[in-house]
Amino acid sequence: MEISRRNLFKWAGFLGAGLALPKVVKAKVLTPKEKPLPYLDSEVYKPAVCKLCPALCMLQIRVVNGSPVGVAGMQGHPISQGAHCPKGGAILQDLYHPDRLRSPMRQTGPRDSGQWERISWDEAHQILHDKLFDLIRRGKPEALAMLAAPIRDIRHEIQKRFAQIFGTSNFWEWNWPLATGPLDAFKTMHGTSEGLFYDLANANLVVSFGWDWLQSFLSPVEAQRAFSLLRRARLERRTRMIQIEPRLSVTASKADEWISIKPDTEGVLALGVAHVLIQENLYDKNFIVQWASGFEEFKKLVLKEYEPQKVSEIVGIKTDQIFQIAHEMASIRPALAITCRTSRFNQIAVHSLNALVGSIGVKRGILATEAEKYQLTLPPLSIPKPKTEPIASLDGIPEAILAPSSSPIEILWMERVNPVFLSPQPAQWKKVMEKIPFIISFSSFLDESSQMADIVLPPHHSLEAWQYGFSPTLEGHGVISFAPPVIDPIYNTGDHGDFILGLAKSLGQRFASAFPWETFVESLQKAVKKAGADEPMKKGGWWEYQAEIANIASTIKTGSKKIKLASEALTSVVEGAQDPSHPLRLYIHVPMAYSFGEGAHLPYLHSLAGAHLGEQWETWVEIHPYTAKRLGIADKQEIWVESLAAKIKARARLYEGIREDTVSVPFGLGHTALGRYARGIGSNPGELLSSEMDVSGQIAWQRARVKVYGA
Amino acid sequence: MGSFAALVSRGFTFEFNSNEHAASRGHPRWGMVIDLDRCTGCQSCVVACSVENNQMLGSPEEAAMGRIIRWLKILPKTESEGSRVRQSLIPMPCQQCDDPPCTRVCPTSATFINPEGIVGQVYDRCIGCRYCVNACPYTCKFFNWGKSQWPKEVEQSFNPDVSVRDKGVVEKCLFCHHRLQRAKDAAREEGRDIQEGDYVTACQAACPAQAITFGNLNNLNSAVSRLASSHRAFKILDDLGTHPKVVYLKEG
Repeated sequence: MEISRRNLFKWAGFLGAGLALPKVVKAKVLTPKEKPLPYLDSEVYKPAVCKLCPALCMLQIRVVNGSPVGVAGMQGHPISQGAHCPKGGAILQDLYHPDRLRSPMRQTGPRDSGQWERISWDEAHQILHDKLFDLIRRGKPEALAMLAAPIRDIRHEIQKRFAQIFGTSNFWEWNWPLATGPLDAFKTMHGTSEGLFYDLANANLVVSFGWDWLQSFLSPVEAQRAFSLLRRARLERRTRMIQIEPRLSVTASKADEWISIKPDTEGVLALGVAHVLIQENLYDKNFIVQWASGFEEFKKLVLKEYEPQKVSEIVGIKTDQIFQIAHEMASIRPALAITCRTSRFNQIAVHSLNALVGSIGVKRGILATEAEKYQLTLPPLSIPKPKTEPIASLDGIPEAILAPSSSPIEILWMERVNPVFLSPQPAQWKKVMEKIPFIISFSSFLDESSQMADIVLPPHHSLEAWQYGFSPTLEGHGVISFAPPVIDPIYNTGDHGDFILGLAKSLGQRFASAFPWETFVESLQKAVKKAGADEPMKKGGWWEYQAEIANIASTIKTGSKKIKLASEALTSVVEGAQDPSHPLRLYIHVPMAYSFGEGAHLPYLHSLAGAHLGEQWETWVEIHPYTAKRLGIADKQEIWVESLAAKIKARARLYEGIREDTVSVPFGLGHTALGRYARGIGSNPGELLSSEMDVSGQIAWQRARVKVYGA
Repeated sequence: MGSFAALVSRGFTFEFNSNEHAASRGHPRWGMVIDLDRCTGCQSCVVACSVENNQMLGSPEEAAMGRIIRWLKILPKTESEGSRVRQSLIPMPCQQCDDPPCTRVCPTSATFINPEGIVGQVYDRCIGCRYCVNACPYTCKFFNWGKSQWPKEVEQSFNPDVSVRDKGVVEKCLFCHHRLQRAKDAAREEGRDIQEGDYVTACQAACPAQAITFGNLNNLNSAVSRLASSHRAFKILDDLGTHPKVVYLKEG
C-alpha cells in the first residue's frame, strides 16, 4: 500500500475511532470470533461403498483424528469415476444424523404411539426367534413376508436365502418405479428382464417418453456422465434428445426438444408414432420378420386404434409432432425410445418402438449384458420350492392383506424400506400394517413404516461395516466393490447379515447347515476367494469385469425365440375418467435430491430440490400462469391440492414449464417421521393418488385428477 | 459515521491491481470455467461445497426468509416465447472478479484480493456492515443472520481446514483456498512447483458431468485457459467491468 497523505489520514481516523470506543465494545469487536482450527494428529483417506441408493458408487472418505470429515468420489472407480451425486456428498449427514437410532428398540405402546424402550440385540434375537419358530411349528412358513431394499450385496443374498430356507415365497424387493427401466415390458416382450439395458452412453437419438432420467436414474452419477459424453465428449455427431413429458423437467430443459403431453399418455403417443412408422412403411421390416412375433395383430391394432389425429387429441399435442417423432426415429438409426417403470401399457407401447426401428441387440440401442454372472454369490444350495405362491405382486400387497378377514401374513420383515411413505395412499399401507400381528424393521431411523413396527433394529451405517456391492455399469460391465469399515460403529448398532446368521443357527439344523459361516464377513471372504477377487478386498477396492455384450438372440427368452409385439396390455386406450369437479391433472415429479423417494432426512438435500424456482425446504405446486390467473391464484400463495382421495397443502409457484391442464408436485417431502429434518416439512403428494392399477396390476402413478384453491 | 461512509464512498481499499500484479510477478491467476452444455444442474457441486466448507444446515424458517447460505448456488434462467419455454440452471460460485466491487467498500479490509487473484474473506476482521454483500452484483456474498445450529453429532463432520463462521459475519466462496495451501505444502515437501491438477476445488472434484474446469488462467497451456478462450465463452454481467474469473461456456 502506498504511504500517502490521504492514507495516513484514513488510518489516523480509524485508530482514533478505535481508541475512543468504550471498553466493552472494544472487547466485543476485537475478540476473534473464530475458534482455532484443530490440530491434525492423523489424516487418512479410506475407501467406502455408498449405500444411499442401488448404484453403489465408491467414495473416498477423509478421516481426520479418527472422524470422517470429507467425501470425494473414488478416482478410477467405474461407476463413480472420482465424482459423486448430491446424496453421496451428504453421506456424512446420514452417518452423524442426530436422530439415528442408537440401539434396538421395542414399541411399548400401541403401534405408532411413539412409546419405545431400548432392548439388547440378544433380546431382539429371542423375540424374533420365538415368533419364527412358532410359524415353523405350525407349518405356516408362508405367513412370513419379507420386503427388502433392492441393493445387491451378500447380506441381501443371505436374507433371500433365509426366506427360501424358511419356505416362504412372499419375498419382494422394493423398487422405486420412477427410477427403474421398463422391466415389465422387457419381461413381457423378451421373456426376461435380466441384463437388458439402454446403451445410453453411445446413443444417437434418445426419445424419452416420460423418464426424467437426469433426475431419477438407477445410477445418478452415470446419468450425468452419460449426458455430458453425449453432448460434448465424443467426436461423433452430437446426440439429439427429445423429451416427452408434461413438465419442463431438468431433462426436458437440457434436451433439444421438449414435447409436453398430458400425464400418463406416453404409451398412447408411442402407439401413434408406431402408426406412422407402419403406415408410411418406415419400420425395419427385416428386423420384424426375423425377430418379432405378433406383428400382424400389433399392426391391426395400431392402425385401427391409434390414428395420429385421435392420438393427438388424447395426448394433447399437434398431429405434426407425432409425424415428426416418427420421421426422426426412422431417419436417425438406431433410435432409442426410453421410458421408466410406469404403467405396463406405457412401458410396452414405448418398447414396441424399439422393435419397430430395429434398435434391439445393436450398439446405441438396447443391449443385453452377462455382467450379472460376475456378482458374488453364496455357494449353491438345493432348496425345495415353497409350497405356496406369493400372495400378490409388490403393488398388490395391500389388497391381498386387507381383503380377507384375517391377514395371510403374520410376520412382516422389512429391511431398509418404507412402504408407508413410498406408496400411493400411505394410509392404506398403514392399515395393512395394523392388520399384521408382528412387524420387524431393520432401519437406521424411525421412519413411517418403522413407527408401525414392534421391533426396530438399527444396522451399522455403510461407513461402519464391511461393504460389498455389485453393480452393472452403463456400458454393461460388472463391478464388484469392497470397503472395510471406515470407522468403528458409533452406536449399539448391529450387522444385518450377522443377525440373520445368528437367527439361522438358533432355528435348527436345517437353517444352520444352509449358513455355515460365523459372520457375514466370513461368508464374504469365501465368496471372494471363489471369485478370485481377494486382492481388491484386502484394503478395499474394486474389480471390473468386461462382461460379454450378448447378441440379439440372447436378449430373447420367449418360447418362440422372438420378441412378442402384440400384447393384451395394449388393447385399452388410457384416458382417465373426466371429472369436472377435479379438472386438473396431477403430475408427480421426483427431484434428484429425493431420488428413489428418499433423502428428506438430510438437510443439505433440502436446499437443492426446487432450484429452478428458488424453492427449498417446502412442497410447492407448479401451475401455469394462465391457469393460476383463471383460478385467482397468486405466485407463492398457499393452496390446497385436492383429489378424490385426499388434499394436501403446498405453495403455488407459477411456472411456464407446466401444461395449462396439469399441475405438478415434487415427491419426497411430507414425512410424519424420519427425524427432525424430515418430519412435518412439506406435504406428500402420494396421498393424492388412488390405488388404481392399470390392467396389468401396475399402480397408476400419474393418473390422479385434482382441483386447486387458496388455503 | 459520516466520515466512515465518506471513506467508503471514496473507495477505501487495500487490494492490489491483481491483473497487472499477477501478470507482472508471474503469479498464477486462478479461474474456473463452467460448461453449461455439460452441466445438468444436478447440484453435486452445491453439496460438495457445503460439506467442504462447513456450511449451515438450513431450516424451513431460514429458507422462508431467504437466509440459507450456499456459497455455490444455482441461478435459474427461464425464458419463454409463446409456447416455447427454455430454462438454464447456472451454477454460481463467487465470480472471483479481477476488479471486485466488494473489496472496494469493505471498511476493515476483511475482504481483499490476493496476488493470485482469489478474493478472500477474513472472518475475524469482518464487522458485518454488509457493504460488500450489497456491492456484489452476483449476490455471492452471504451474511450470517443468526448463529448456526449444529447438533453436536454433526459437528464431528466439520472439515478441520475451514473455520466455522459466527453470527454477524459475511462469508463467501474462496475457491477452496485451503486446498491451495495444502497443495502448495505438498509440492514444497516434494521439492517442486505446484502443477496443474494439484489444486482442485471441491465442486470441480464432485462434478459427475465434468462440467467444471479449474486452474491457472495465466498458464496458456492449462485446460482452463484454453476453455476460457473458447468461442462459447462468456462472463456474467461482464459489462460492469468487474472482470470475473469464472467463465461460462454457452449451451448448444
